[in-house]
Amino acid sequence: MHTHCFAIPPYILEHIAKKGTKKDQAAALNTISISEQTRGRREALKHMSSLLAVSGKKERIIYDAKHRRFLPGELIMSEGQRKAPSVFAREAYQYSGTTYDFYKEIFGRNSIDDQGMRLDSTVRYGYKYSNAFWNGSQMVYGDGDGRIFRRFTRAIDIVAHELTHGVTDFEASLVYQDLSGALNEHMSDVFGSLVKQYHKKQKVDKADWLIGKGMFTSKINGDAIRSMKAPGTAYDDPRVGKDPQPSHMKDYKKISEDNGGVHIYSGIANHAFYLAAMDIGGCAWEKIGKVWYITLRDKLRPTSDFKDAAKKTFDVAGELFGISSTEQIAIKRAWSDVGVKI
Amino acid sequence: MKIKFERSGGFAGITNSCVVNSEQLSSDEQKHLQEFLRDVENKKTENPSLNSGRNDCFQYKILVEDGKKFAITTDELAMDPNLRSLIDFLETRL
Ligand SMILES: [Zn+2]
Repeated sequence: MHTHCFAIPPYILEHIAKKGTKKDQAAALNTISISEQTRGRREALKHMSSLLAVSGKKERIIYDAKHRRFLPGELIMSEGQRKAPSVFAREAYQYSGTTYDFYKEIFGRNSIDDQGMRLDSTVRYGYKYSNAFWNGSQMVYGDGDGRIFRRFTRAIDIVAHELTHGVTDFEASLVYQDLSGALNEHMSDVFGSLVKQYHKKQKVDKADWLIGKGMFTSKINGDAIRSMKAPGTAYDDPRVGKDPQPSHMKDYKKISEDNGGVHIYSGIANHAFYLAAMDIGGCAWEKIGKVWYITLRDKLRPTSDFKDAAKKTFDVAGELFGISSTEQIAIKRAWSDVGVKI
Repeated sequence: MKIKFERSGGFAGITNSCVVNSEQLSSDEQKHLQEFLRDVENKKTENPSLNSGRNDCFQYKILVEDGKKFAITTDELAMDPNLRSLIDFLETRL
């Protein structure tokens, strides 16, 4: 079998490192160790801050790709502009602003890099493009195909999810594959959900704990894209299948699609967060949100998995609220309930 | 020849796949496919750097069965124009 890869996913690198020719093995090991060494781009880029658009305060820029796939596209809106030229621009601008405010007010963080990095977003990317992503330096949103998905700017938690990928890049820099990738996705869902709850001023018992609510058109049987409360129940429709998220480690197995199931197994950690948040009560961003933020910022490494996350969140809760505090016990119990023992 | 195509990942993490026979392709698409396979064979297509900072992008897997087999895994920000146009076509079949 002749194999040729354009982007080499880490699991393939690992495979080459184990089974390839001598020359291939050396190259693969070199690539793996380079990415392992870089804990976060914050450290890598510390001396290159002049290359980033830094303003020191909230600064947003919106581009329009006009249904093409070139980034960033045409500049259509900048910070302080009163009137948005389109609903896509208005949502991307407002929701990235709320996310910036959330990180600033709740955690004292100044933007994605904590140094005031400008928030760049491109809307109307691609033709009938049903997705949103973070490309390493900016957020990108499609309009949706109108048949299954609606526009990806319409959900504040999706915007906060994408922006949080930027934060993770600068901090733990979790490798986007298998369990470290699922942990990366989990972090984006957690802060996506927290920004939504903060925006709506909701306590844990009033929150819906859904990710991307209302993203499916009315033709699809689905409330949202994911559920932290009940992973696996967000949608069920012949056109998109059934929500594949499990809520317990017993259902984890190594797979090749979706970078090893990063959007699938995130459900397990998402559910642990939900259980602990409900147990602790109040506004989730005040206590457990802080535990998760400090864990992401200071404790996790690129290859951390759920077990590491459980241990670190438990430790941080001990530091913040005391050993054997109700918060610390709630976190331990929640991880244990999803099959992750500390 | 038979082409098995799978798209996974993206924000929603939904996996779709299809099987297409190259006879179903238009002459333009067949040309893209031939050029693409030739580039793969001649190793003319560059390996882009390791995927990093491409969260929520679609992941594509293409398996071409043509006597010998070709398997390609790529993501949407890491592909050359021949592959892009082939994937554009395959996506309409999902
Ligand atoms: Zn994501």
